[in-house]
Amino acid sequence: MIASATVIVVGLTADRAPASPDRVASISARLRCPVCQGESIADSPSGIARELQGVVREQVAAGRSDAQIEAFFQQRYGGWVLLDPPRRGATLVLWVLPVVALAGGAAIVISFWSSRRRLVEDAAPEVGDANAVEDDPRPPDELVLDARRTARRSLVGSTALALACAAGAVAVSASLRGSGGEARAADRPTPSMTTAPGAGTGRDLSSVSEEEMEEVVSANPQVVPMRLALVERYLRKGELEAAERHADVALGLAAEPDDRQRALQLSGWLTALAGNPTEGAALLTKSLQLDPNDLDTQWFLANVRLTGLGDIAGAASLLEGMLTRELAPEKRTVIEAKLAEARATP
Amino acid sequence: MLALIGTIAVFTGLAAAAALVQQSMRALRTDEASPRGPRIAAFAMLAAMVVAFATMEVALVTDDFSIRYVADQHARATPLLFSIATAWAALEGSLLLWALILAGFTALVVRSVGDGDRLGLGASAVMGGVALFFIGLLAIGGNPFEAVSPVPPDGPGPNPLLQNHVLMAVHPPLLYLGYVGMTAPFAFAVAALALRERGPAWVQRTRRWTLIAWSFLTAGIAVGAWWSYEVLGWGGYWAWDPVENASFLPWLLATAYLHSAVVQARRGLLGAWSVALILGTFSLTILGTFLTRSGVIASVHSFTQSPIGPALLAFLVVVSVGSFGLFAVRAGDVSSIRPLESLASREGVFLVNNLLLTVFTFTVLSGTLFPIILEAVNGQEVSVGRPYFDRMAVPIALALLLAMGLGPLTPWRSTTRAATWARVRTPVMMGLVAGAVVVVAGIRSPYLVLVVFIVAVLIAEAGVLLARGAAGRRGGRAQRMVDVVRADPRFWGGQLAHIGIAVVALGIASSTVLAEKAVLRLDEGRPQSFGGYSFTYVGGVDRREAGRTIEGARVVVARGDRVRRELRPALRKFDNQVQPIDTPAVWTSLTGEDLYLTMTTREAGRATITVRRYPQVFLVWTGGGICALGGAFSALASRRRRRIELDSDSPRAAAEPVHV
Repeated sequence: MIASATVIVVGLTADRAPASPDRVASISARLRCPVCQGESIADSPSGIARELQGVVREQVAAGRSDAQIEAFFQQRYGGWVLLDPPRRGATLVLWVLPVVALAGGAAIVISFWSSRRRLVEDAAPEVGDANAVEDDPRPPDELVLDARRTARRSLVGSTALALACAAGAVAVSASLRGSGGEARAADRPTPSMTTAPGAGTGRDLSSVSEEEMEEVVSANPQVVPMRLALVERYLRKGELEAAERHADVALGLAAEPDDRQRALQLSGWLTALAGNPTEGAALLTKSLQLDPNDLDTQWFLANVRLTGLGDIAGAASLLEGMLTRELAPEKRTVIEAKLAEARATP
Repeated sequence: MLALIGTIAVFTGLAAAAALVQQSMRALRTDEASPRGPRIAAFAMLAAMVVAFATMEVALVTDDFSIRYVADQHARATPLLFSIATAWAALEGSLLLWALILAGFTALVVRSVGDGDRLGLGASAVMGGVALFFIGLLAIGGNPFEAVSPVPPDGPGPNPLLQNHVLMAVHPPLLYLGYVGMTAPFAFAVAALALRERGPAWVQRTRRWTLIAWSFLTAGIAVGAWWSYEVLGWGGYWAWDPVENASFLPWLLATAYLHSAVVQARRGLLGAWSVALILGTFSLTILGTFLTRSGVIASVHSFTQSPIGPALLAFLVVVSVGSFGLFAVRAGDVSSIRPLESLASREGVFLVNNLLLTVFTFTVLSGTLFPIILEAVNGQEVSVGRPYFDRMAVPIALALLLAMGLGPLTPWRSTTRAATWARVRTPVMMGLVAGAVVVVAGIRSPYLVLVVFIVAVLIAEAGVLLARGAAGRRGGRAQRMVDVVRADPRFWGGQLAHIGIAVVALGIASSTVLAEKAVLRLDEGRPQSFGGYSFTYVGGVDRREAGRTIEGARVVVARGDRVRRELRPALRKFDNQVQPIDTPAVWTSLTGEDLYLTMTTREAGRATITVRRYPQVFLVWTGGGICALGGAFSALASRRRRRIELDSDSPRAAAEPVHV
């Protein structure tokens, strides 16, 4: 027996080949395929899943961390895309609950046992003997009563525990929702402003065609982030009508502050581009109220004020505010150029 | 014509269900409590549902498109087997099958009720109430016999995914037999609470129902996993999909109940707990039906599209709140009275088993419901998928396996360390030897070695217990073994089920840990090797079938110089669906290793094939089958024993103490 145990221990500890984890596979297994029923992009045979796996591969090759890649997909498609719920925000509850349930259950079992053991020792000490006879002596009446009380107590206890778990879950998920949103906003790649305004975010699912994204969106009409990604895509390609169509729907559906902020931002900019700067500025201002620090929104609003409304002072104050923040040098250059343009306008 | 017969049958069933409730309640109020009225009602209900179901089958087989369900779900081109199976391929038909099975179980329960049997009458009333709901759903929510006018010449046929494998024809009936069977113990538990029936009487009466239902559920889950593996082409058998979880959740709680019921029957412990478990099991079957049948999974907002979703939700609330409310008020009356002596006893291990199974259920339940609840509460959309469930399930399952290995070796009541060691020593040694052999053979995964160890312990344990039981008997060795098993078929059925679970665990561990996958870009006629095999693409296959195009590849698999098989993975493109569906080609070698081929793309002279190698994955379904057989043996053999006991006057005590 000892020999066998030694073989197992030595075998499992010695010469374990260093595992080289296949990061593309493991990340793909954690990302949900947008057009399938709950499959990961690693499992799904669909074209879009294969393309998204290609995106994962590119990003891994580019040296991005798992967390960065997940954040990238989360920003594109919403929290919905992560099959492995993150251990922050509302989904933290999922990681805490089972542990709490196990601990609570174990506590109940132990209290049940110890209270019963006390009963046994008090009332029928002879039963504690090991390997006793099969037939129990009839327990005395007070034992019956006591046991019943114990049973009731443990039942009440477990019900209370279950209720507390449920209430805690709801409370925690409600309170953590805000911080989850913040975390997501922080994860989002900051806008690249080296190109013209309206360029949206820098990186995109360049290998995925609009048709496929349309398919994704129509398969999941309720998922707002995906639709917004499509809006950005059309916006960048200059297909403003298609962009507006989706932006309108997204604005109608967006319930989460994070989605709402982006929907307002994109709709505002699109409205301004469509020749209605007043209404566009109003939407952008609403978006800015939801996230006062969003560079994209500030940038859009500054542009609308400057070129659409002729509000030079308003544009300049926004741009000055942006320059007080920590910015990448190329962004600073673009904003400074815009500020100079504003100040040069009579 | 058929539409009329079917509709009349459904409404007759509805009336009979109402009569069953009313007759049972009336009999309960009389002194003699005769079961005659309920019996007539129950058999009338069964007859009506048999007629309704048979009508549907006749309509499907004879292509009678004047019935809405047939017009919606059937096509003339559908082969006979799938025409028959179409009866449960869609929502209304499933409800019809559900109602038929429920009527069957109800008739069996009511038949077992004797004169003056108040508990049985109470259970009949509860079963009548459940039947009233389901047949009512059928009659009012979605009558499948609605007439269609004008009568279409042909229909679209059933969901394509459901008509390409014979396993799909058996999977739903097996699952329904499992789900619906849980109604019987639920009915008895509610009756025991309502009538303040203390003690293990109801547990003993429902033991066989529960075991039979559990065996069907086990078989249904195993067949479902197998189907998913053979047909869906994503390369796995269990995705922790909400639909799968819906069948797994009641299985987990029912398993906990089977164990707590043993403790209650043997030691008079855990009475109230057993009631809670069976109430929970039944509530979970309704929850599962709600989740899978209402469309709530696709989106919270879609479940009101048919009246069945809200009706099921309402019934779920009534069942869970009503039964647990009754439980809260009356639990003291059914709780047990005997003390637990030691945690280091069989009862103690059962408690741990129950704790683990309940936590397992809770974890899967919260993971399944969380996204739905969160979306309903604040519109936030999240996913809880396979990575989460795998991570949570593996440690719990390993702990359960350990408890399963230790449980049957620990004696009841309490024990000393020396006594325990004496029992445990040989199996543990066998387990260690098996583990060492596997390690020497080159396997380095601690997870797999642990599972091998536990499996070996379990099998050795069964051997040791058999040998010990046989030692004191007369006759040839085989005869003595048979005698030992016959003396306590429940216990040995349980052991068989345990071995089945261990085999499943081994299959899961081996096919997960040792799996290999490669994407091969094969040029026609040029072999590539992977996992000890060579693969050669020899050409394409194209077929046009009703409503779909099949685009396949012929791949010759060889080992060394010997050609083993030609496999034909394919892509099916449905005319009414954008995404093609993988049809895998699976080959199980004699060494138990599966090659699982799917075709990704095909161009002229070239095919991209994904090859997965799954060692011993067949153990997953084999183990599921063994497990179901163990449950069935335990349920059915004990009945035979009772008859033998009645015939012979051999003292029961002599047959008892094999496992102390």
